Amino acid sequence: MMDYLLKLLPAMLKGTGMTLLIFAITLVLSLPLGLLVSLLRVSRNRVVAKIIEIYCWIMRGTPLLLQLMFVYYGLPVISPSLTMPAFPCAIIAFVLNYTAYFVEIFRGGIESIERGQLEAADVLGLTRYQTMRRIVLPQAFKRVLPSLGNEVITLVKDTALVYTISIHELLRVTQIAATRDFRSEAFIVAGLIYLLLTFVCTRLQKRVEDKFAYYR
Amino acid sequence: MILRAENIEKSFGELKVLKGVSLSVSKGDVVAIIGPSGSGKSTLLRCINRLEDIEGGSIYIDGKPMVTTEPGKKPVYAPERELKALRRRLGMVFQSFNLFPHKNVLQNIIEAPTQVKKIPKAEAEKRAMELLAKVELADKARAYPCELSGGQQQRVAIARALAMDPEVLCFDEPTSALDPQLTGEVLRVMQKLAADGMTMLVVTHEMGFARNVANHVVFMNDGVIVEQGTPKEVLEQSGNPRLRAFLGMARQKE
Repeated sequence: MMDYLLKLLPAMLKGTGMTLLIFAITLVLSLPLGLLVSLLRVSRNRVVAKIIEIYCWIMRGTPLLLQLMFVYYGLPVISPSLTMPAFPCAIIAFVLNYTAYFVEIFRGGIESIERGQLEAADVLGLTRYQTMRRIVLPQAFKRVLPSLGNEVITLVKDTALVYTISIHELLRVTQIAATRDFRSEAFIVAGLIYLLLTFVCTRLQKRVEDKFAYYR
Repeated sequence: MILRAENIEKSFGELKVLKGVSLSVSKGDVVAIIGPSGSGKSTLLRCINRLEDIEGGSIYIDGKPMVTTEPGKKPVYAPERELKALRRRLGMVFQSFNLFPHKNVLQNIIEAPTQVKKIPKAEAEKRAMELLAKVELADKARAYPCELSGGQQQRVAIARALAMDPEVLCFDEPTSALDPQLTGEVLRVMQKLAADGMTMLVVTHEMGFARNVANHVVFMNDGVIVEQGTPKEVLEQSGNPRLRAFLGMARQKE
């Protein structure tokens, strides 16, 4: 059995690499994008805010799997020029989807900051930008850390969805091995790898939360 | 006249909170605004600081119009830059302190001087330490607001407001959120400021402060100023039945 596991490992590690790549690119793009769009969402421009609200509603109201399939299979039907390889399709679908979640998380954090904080900044003469940048966002960030952590862990597992568009990430590699060898160990190994990944995320989240624990 | 408010009107929905209130503050004045809850005294202060937009009337700071209303028209505020410059001449201390919880005491105080006035950090910190000494909290410069008592937080808030060198410092019920034993330390600091000649406009429930520190007392009820004058005139000699009833209740609480 040890031999079998050792034989599985190279392919599974390669799959894990792909999983991590999609995870990392999605996070690196959608976190800042989510923050940016959330600022527009709470801006005084009603039209922009409404458009973003609708965007978030669609992205959070339909399955990520559906969105993924739409980008990969649906768009080329609309116009062949929209045909893309699987990997960029996965990134587009994931970034669009996760940005919507992050927008809502950041919005909640920003709106949770007490009015008194804004008034204090206002009477002291801080501009709207300074107030957002120096007073609201640092406090909002601390408040949204638990929700962000949840979302990040969900993303680790959501990466498995890209297996449906033939990307060789962890789950797909696992399934191929299990079907080929008619053995179930690969599933266990995949489960352990996902657990390890989410465990690392949880620890990192704890570290960041501790960093912000110096004030209440 | 450093501050003049004329015929201020303000409603919240159907409820008319200020029904034409006029108030003048001269340099060095300590004005106490007293009155029952819902009389509009906090709203008046918030209108003067432009935390609320007024619906009628005019406000002048040192003779310069911050907002004016032509008869039969809507109020017109000064252009953005001018308004900002005028508002900067006012300071505000809130009932709930509103310190920035993610910044320590020193950072709270230097935030506006460094960001708004662009004063170099070292200079702002030096000044902040002087102000902290003044409010008797020099040893708490590195503490975070959550580590301080309510009374200490309010004294930091006073130092933070003073750091912008306001010409009039407004207090919105500065001791209402405090335990009785913490009220004294805040009032003592305010008394010291008054003695230093600071112009102050104080909405308060502390009759002792109105009596002993203020030189002018304003009694508001139901959106209008019912009585104003020296502490003696208002707190002792007035025969106004509303005022007498209010003072009677206040005395029972003390």
